[in-house]
Amino acid sequence: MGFKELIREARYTDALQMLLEIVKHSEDPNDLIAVSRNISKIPGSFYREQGFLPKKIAVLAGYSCDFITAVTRTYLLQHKIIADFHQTEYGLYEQAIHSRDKQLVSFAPDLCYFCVGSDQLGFLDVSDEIARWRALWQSTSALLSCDIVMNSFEEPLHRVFGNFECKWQPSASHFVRSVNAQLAQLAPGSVHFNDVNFLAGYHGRKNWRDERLYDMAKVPVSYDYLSAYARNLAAVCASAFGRSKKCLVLDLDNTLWGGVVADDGVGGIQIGNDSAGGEAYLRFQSYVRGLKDRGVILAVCSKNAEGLAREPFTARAEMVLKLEDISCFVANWRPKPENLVAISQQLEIGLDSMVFVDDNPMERDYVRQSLPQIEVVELGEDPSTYTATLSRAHYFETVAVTGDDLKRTEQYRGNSLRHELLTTVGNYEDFLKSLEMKACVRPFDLANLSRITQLINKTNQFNVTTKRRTESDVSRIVGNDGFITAFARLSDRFGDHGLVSAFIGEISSGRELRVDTWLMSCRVLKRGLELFLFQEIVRQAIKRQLVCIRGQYIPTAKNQLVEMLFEEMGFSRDSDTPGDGTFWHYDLTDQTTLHTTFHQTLCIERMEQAEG
Amino acid sequence: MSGASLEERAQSVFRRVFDDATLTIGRATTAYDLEDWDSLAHLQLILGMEKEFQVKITAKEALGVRNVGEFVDLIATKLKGAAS
Repeated sequence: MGFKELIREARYTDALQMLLEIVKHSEDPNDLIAVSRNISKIPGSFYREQGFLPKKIAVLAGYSCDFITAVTRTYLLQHKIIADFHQTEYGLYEQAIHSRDKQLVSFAPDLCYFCVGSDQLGFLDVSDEIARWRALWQSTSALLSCDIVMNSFEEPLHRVFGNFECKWQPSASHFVRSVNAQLAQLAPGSVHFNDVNFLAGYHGRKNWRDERLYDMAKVPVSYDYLSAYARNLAAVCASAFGRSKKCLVLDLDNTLWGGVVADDGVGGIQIGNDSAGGEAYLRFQSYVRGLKDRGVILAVCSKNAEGLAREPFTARAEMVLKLEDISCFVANWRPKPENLVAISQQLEIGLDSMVFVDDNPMERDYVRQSLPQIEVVELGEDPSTYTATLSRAHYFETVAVTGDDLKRTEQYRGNSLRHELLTTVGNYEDFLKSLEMKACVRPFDLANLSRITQLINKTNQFNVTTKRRTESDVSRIVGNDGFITAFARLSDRFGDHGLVSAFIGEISSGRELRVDTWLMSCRVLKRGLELFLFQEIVRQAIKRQLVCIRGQYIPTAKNQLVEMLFEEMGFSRDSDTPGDGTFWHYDLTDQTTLHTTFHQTLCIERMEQAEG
Repeated sequence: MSGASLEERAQSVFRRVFDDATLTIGRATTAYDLEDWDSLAHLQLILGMEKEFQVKITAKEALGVRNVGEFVDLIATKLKGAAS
């Protein structure tokens, strides 16, 4: 049955599936543009029910951008984002901002994309050029208060000075490199790059640009690489909207090393630079290790006896990955989908945050069919291609690296150790005491802006309203008198969890505090931190002479965990309220209510100074 | 595709660009006959033909094409040139 028939019969799930299949398998822009036209034939309400994020993206066009936006829209769909685009007139990217274009302002974008390139550079003075773009960023932020994605400038195709351009400062190549380097250094947290210069180099500059297509229609990329361009752009936008993966789950035999450890023995498997096969696995492990070092959680899911599966990690010195790099190690004979669910529970992360790598096509297929939420990497047969396949899929794009990212593996490993402690301690309160937890609660500040924004965009389970915000949005709340904000840090004797909870309350007329956002990372559940933070909120609210805190629980597919949070915190439920979810209030003038909030056992000590 | 004639292959490109599996074109079909045949679609047609027939069309040639017949003739000339 064709797409049109499916739409006519309102079979939207199948229709969407059909579009996504095309996006997955075809790189032909004509196919993708056709998909793009059909996206809006499925009603918006259906996308929202399916958990798609509706986002508005303004395209500030230095080039002709119709192809780019159409194809990018299809790739955003893969990230579960349903995007609405508004394009400025061709060439008017700068004027639109500085003249405060009415249509642009009323579109109220969630993100601004500057589709620009070397054709927009003046090639005169580097510092003037830098000043021009910075002024544009500032005016854009002031006008539209949203994050910005901008292309890096691609190095020129033709060199007037030939090889001498390497060292000749006035040359075009030199100019572009300087501009790229300085803009990257000066870009604030709300400006992200679509690294077109990297892409052009990766695919080959000569083929990247089709000069005839540029002459004819001002399209900055050849038709052959339009999909690569759009896929990259979609990944950057998705990452800015908080849609990135968190965890990489790895098979072992023939994925991390060559051969089967149960058959070939720990000495017989291939890893290391003594063989061509071993070299490929080494490269793959190094890349994976790099991901782990920047905060991606690693897990192992292998059909093996556990002892045997662990042996190469300790017995083979060539292994780049060590046992302590793996936050969750599962080796047994149960079906992999079952083990993946167990991994997701143990690490307390959603299935849709996981990426699964396995050399065995049957296992991949099994996982894909049983757990469609999990991203399954389509590995080729040759291990030499593993690294390229994983890296070009953009699963782990990020727009910021925070101190917490760099410590994440310790934190998740700490979780497993804590689980072990619980089994030996028995009584839960004794267990909590034995953790020797310390926490601090402080108002939002600029130093923690990136991490707070990251948390706001990634937290799905302990999140009462699931409101997402860009870094620019959050920065406007920092130090704003109309709000009470708080973040919490937690550490215990197994490690530092870092910044794990955030709260935003808006002060409304009638001296009330309306809970706008309240969320917490799931790795610190059931430790009393929510109460610890709430006590601080109550103190602040009383200090500001407020009389009531109002909360709303907005249900999603994932936040059932906090359905009763307000009740647990001493709120009373309002009856008969319109709108989504449930409504609650907490009377700040009622002594009994306050007494229950402040006289519960908490096993967390106050930490005076927040570090980092 | 080896068995299909040049006209049939060109038609399949038109069908994909206009996302209409039943679209039938003739030599005299022009942009006036197809509502969606705008400048963007024209580019898509050019690029789609290039890919289908493995030929390169210049900017000047692309802008000179006015109807389906001229499209087909242009490709036929290109293919003949490539074969000789």
